[in-house]
Amino acid sequence: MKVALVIGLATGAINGLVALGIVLVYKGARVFNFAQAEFGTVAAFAAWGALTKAHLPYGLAIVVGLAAAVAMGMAVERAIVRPLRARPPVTTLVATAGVALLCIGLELALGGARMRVFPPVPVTFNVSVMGVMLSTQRIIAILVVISLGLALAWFFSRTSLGLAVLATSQEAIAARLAGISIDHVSTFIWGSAALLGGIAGLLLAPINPFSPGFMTMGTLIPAFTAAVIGGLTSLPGAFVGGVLIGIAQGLGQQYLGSVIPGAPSVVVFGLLLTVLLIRPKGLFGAEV
Amino acid sequence: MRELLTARKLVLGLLLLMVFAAACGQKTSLKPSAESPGAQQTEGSLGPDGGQSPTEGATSASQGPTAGGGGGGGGTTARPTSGTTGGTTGGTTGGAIAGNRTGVTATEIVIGLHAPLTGAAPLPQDTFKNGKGVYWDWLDDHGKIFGRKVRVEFVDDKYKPSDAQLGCKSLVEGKKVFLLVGAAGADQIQACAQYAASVGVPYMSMGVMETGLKGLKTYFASSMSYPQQSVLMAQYIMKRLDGAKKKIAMVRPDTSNFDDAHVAFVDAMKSYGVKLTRDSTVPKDADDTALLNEAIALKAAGVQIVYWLPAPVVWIHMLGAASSQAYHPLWVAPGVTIGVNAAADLACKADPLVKANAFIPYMNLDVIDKFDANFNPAYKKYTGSDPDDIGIALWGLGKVLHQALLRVGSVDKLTRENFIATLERASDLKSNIFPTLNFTPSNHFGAREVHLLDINCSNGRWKTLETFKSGF
Repeated sequence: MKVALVIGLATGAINGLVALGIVLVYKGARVFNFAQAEFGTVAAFAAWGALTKAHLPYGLAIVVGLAAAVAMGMAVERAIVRPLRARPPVTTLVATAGVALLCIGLELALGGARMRVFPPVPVTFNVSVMGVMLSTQRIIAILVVISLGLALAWFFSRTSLGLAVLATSQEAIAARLAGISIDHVSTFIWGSAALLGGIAGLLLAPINPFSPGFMTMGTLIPAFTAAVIGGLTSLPGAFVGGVLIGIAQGLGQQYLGSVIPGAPSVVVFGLLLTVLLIRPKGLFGAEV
Repeated sequence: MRELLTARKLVLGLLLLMVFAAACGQKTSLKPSAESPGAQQTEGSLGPDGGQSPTEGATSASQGPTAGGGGGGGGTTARPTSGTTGGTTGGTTGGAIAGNRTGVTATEIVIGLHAPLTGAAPLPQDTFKNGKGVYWDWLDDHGKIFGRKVRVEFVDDKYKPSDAQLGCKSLVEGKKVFLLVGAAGADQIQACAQYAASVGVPYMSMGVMETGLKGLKTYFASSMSYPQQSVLMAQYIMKRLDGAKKKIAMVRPDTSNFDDAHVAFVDAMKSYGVKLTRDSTVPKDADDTALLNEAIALKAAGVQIVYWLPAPVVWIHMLGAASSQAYHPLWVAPGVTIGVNAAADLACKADPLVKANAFIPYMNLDVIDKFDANFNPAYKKYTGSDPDDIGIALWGLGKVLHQALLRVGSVDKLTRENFIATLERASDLKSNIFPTLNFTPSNHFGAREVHLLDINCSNGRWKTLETFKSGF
């Protein structure tokens, strides 16, 4: 049980980070962003290219990766989300799915389907927690997701820009009459979400060899599930949801793995249904 | 009430998400379908001469596909190469027999090949595309077969059984192939073989599971199946790895397709008086959480040798999980589960301390010249690139098929029905790369040998330790 908790924390943190981005976009723009995980893939590929092809220093390569993700987020907002703003939300949802598929196609076209190895952070140390060794990469992921969750919660409740974002999402016309630039707010939301996705991608890529679409295929469903469990409007909830997913998967594998095929997914689905039946807003959702 | 409606919306959203994930769950293929359009021939057509092209009858057995010299060395057990007689055995020996001749034209024999160009396989994209036609191009320049060129139609099965089945259907119905070949991927091979059996098309692949394949009239394994190899693996572990003094585990995917290999291995170990220290499953597409759990459990149990059955990409991720726990057991695996160089390269990066042995149907690049001196120059000539081990696999499969086709005797007798009937009575089918094959009507799993590989992280490749081993 203790081991499952630690593994849940370690593996759920990155799902939580992707979930944070999903919640941020939903909270700010009322859009389910299916391209959220792909921001991470783009960041990983850009940083990998900067590191292994352009031979930039590790830190600079990370900056390149994050910049690529943010640029992609802002481009998606400007080229796709903004023109569709007046359309029903489902239109934007489908458009973001299209963005993800387009990105995967481009990654395959440009780099092929082979797997790549992203070097881990140069400083390596391991910490043993209840019998589970946590690598530098995983410790960084946990710390980053906790910090970002708290920082974003503070941002939305304590800063003018955060309140402007919330105001825009709840009543765009009134916000505009109050002098808030909806376009600027929208750009900020998508750029920030892409940054979160980029961070997630750069944290996950060194843990396992990666390939085109690895974030969408590996983290999108757990992250959406985490966001729903945590409450679609709750940033700390996204983190908690991510960890709960990790723990549920771990327990499923540990206790039911030999009995039920696909036990981790079954347990996660059971958890999701239970939360939705008991508390449809999610564990921390204030409004949906 | 409002909350229930919201819950319904959320569930609907998640269902949409799953549909989306299914759409992109496997990577999109760059060229998902067959590459060369090729001339289509209707069933039963043999061309204007009724099957006798101008070159038929010209025998050139001296130009066989195997020219490798014998001689062992470096731990490799070499075998005489004279057993393989290649070249063309042309000529017609009688009137054409009745049967389905789809894919056999006056100038060509068309065969279909499916393999994963994209998807969960860790293989570079060009490997199958480059290697698919090398043997047949070489043969085309060295005497052809029944006076005909063999043309290979290819589909990317995307490492998904559903795509494999659709791809094979397109090969059979659209490209009108004579027979089908599966290059890799156990579940994809099973799916396509079952389709092939349902439409009476001969199908050959490297040996995988027997579940769902045993009893199929049209299916033939060109190497030992997983259950067969599991028995041999138990012998290898006990006799070569001092298994009686080690803690041994088996990890397999959580699908019933691998139950036969599981039972075979557990029973074989029992026969040596050994009970597995851990006997577990992981999801077929196991994620980080599942693999970390499994790695920790294996380490906690003190397992020293892990018999591994899940896919290569899962193994690579498993190595990352295991090495993060400072856990480095000896991994052993059958078939091409982990034994391709692309997997070795990534494995060595995931865990530079990795230790692994693999059984495989074909030898690796380090010794191929001893068994077939034509492979390397042919690969370079017809692809313009450096040879790889998947190229050897496809070359070897080509040689096996060539030998199998020759057993029919003449193009007049080359119908699907007669090919199957001949193959299931064929014995001593030698390619000098794949194991010698001996089929019977009741046994289409006719191989009894494997090659033994050892991972070599100094060059990120597998090293061939021993060849054509039928026992340890």
